Amino acid sequence: MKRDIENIKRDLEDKRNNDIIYKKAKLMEIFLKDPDIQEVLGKKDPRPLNKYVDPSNPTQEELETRKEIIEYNEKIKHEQIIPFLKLNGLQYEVLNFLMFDINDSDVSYYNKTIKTQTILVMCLIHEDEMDTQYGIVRTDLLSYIVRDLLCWTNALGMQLKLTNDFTDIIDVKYYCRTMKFVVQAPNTVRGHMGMNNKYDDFSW
Amino acid sequence: MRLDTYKEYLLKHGNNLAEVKRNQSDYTIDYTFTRDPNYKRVYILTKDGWKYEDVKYQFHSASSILKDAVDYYVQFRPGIHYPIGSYIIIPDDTTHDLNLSEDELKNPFTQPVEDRKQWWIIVGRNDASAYVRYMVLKCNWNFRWILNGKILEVFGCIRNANSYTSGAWTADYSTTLDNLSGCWIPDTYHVYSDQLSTLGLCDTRTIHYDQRFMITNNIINPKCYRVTKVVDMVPQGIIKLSIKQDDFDSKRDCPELLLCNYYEEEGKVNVDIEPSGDVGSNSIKYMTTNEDFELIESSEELLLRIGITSYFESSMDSTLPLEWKLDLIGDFSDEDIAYYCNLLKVTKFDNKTISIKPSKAKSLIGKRFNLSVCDTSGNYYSSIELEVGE
Repeated sequence: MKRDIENIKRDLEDKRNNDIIYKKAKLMEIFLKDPDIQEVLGKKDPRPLNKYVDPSNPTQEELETRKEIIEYNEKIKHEQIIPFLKLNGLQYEVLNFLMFDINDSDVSYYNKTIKTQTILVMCLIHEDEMDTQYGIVRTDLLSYIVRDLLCWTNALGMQLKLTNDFTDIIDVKYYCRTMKFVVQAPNTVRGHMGMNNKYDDFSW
Repeated sequence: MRLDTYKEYLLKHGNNLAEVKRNQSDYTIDYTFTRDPNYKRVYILTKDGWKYEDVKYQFHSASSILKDAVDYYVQFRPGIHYPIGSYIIIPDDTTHDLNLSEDELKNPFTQPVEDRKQWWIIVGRNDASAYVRYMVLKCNWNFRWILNGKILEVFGCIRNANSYTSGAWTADYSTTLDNLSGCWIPDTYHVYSDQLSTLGLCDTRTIHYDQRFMITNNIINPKCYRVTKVVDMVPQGIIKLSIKQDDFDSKRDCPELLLCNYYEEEGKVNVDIEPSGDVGSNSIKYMTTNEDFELIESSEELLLRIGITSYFESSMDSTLPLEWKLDLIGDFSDEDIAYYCNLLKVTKFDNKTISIKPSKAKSLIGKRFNLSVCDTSGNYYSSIELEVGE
């Protein structure tokens, strides 16, 4: 059977096209909604703008300070929760990241319509930020929150199981804790999430 | 003339012909010393203080953009020697005299760093020729660091370490800075031993591995370096440091004072300040933000709330840096005091404005703190009491 290239109709906006896209969006939503993650990631607060003494005629100094504050506020908007594992560039304002990705790692030996999905969540922390004010190492605190949010929950359909939680030294400046969750999921079965393509149907 | 009188006469000029020639040359050089265009009257730091000395200042090797600043020779009068590592102020082509004022002559270390254009250090001794010449290198940077709450400094030379690296080093998940440079500074204790404090010098032996320096003229994007190698025996009297570029830490480093690790944590200065009485009137104001996110004075005294940022401003007249401090009120152990104070994150925006954000620790609720501010001279002091709520 060949794919009918001439008549492909796709909705690129629909996250349900692919279960990985959909599940990543779900994970992002969970992490963003958590009241403590941003705090533990050390997200910086924006600086309030300086007030002009005479709003209609601000001085050069006031304008420059305002510009500086706006630039700083822009810089700290740098995303800290990232839906892929990435290389960090050189910057000073944001140092800690929570990154995650999903792999389809295996299919069931007995039933190829069931696959094993691996969710990798990586807490990457700069050495200067490892200590927290709570007396707990930042990687450990973050991994606790992630585990609290995901482990044994049905956040992505079937129950998520934590199979690995290991620490690592990334290089001289970064430490990380990587958690690996495993979940069983339908292997792109028609009529299920991740299926809109009739050619995806399993067949012999 | 008797034979032994004649012998004695001859021996006065030396035991052999080499000594005779040498003595004659020494005499001629000493006698004609100031007739040479290379002659300069310099000011040199000895263990007994600063003193004038006569030198011949001689060209050694050509300066080129392809290499570091080159050294020059100085030759003292015959038989005069000074240790390697000595400071020497040599007049330049702009004047025959030193560019020091009368007061500065008493202690040249009072000369502002930006005016020190004539400072050199002796970095080597050339024994090869009959007349010993010393190699001198021009000082071009005042290195500053902090030790046990005191700011120390030494005037020395920045050397190029010929680092043809990209300037950045990328590992698996991050990129760090990777530029190398070198510094040559006098081993002040070796040269001036226990006269250091009398002469106004700092002990450079205290510079050790991982000591950070801010070496930059750019206070917008300052460059910091970390000491990775210390060579203090080749030659004795000079300490050669290899330094590797390090990240500028905006929380801990102070570009205005060119000091690394100036702040122990945000807002807390790492240098000892002794308040000297004069307590000013209460100058700490509660601030809040308006709908445009501009900082305005708050009409009411607000509670600190966990996880929420509060703003404070000081209306002190002082132009000196202000130091803000939080103290826990009540009867607590030292450990508890350190723990609770650490739970409050203080961020300094500019000299007069700070924010305080209590961490989301439930144990903080109900705790009361004393927020105080004083300037680094200790002349102004003001404080208010704050309570943490939910």
